Amino acid sequence: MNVGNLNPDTFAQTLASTGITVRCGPFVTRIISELPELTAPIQLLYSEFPIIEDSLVDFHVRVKAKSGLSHRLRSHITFTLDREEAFFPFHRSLALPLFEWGMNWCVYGNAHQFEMIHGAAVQRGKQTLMMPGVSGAGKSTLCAALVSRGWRLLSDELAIWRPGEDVILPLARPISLKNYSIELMKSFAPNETFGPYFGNTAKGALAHMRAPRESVRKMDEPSAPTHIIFPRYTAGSGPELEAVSKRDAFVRLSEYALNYPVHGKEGFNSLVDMIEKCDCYDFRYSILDDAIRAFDELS
Amino acid sequence: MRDGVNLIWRRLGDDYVVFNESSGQTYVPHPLSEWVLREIEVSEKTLGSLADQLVQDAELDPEVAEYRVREVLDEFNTMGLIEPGHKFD
Repeated sequence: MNVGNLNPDTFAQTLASTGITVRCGPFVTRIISELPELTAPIQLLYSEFPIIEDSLVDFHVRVKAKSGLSHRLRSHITFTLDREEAFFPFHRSLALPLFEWGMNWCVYGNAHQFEMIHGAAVQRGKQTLMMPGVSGAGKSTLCAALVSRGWRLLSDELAIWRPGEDVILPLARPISLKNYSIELMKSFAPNETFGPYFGNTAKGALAHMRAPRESVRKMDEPSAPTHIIFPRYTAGSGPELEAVSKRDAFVRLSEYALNYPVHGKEGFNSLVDMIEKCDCYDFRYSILDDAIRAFDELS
Repeated sequence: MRDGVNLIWRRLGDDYVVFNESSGQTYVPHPLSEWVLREIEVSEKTLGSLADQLVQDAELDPEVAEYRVREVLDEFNTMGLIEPGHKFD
């Protein structure tokens, strides 16, 4: 039974009471929320994810309104992990962004049994691309474009692997799009499913693209990266793929490694092993079709 | 080299990256640093002997060689790789 198979009223009631338990890659999360503004978007964006029963849960999360007599207080919401508030309260109009950021935080703040890179990862055939980058570099836009053209989504935000194993574990959660890339992707991939639009978040305008069914279906199939691509949207730039030395790739990749110090020698060796097996590039682009063609030609 | 320092060397292409297991620090040495690090990892060396070797191997001016090696050793001192207050001469 997938999230999307439930009758919306049943989904809402269950989400508000005992919660809905889903698995995203290696993580089982129980989600509870009474907020009506969150129910439909979660069911839409996670529709392909299986509902889990009788399983140990990694993260118990809840998004709820602040309690209190003050109307101002009640208009704000919190994200809790294991009953601990993870962030300052948000306005409830930002319930979905808070939920998604909270789900990310559950992993990068707690799942240190894995090594993690802030970056996207996609796979097609024998090629698996890891695309590290800061917010605004264009990695999520590029990731969404590739996914809409047949690449499998492993992850949009966090590439994770177990130390000593050089395969990326898929999470396949919704892809976060910001600002101009929202309309760009809706034009580029009109058949994809997008969540609601939020015009005024701390990161600018925000919307999410649902992961394709096939990506979610294959979330138990890890993949070894073959390419490390550092993407950079550059207005007016033709697609430019420029080789990066493995030494430089190591330096840059370690800057995006969220918990590199935690793993010591094993983490060091794991990162080096991964880079050894990859071709590494800088990639500048401005037109998505050009970018897709450039990646189609990757050997 | 400071007691307890245990370095793990890994080659990446034409370069090396180094992990200091005792401190958890990672280094990406440039060629001269790499050479000095390897030399002092094997046995204790003075600044003078390192500079002399550099003059011989790289045909550098002695003053330049000493300056460059001192720079590298100062860096290693800051990193905690060599004994603090070690007299190089």
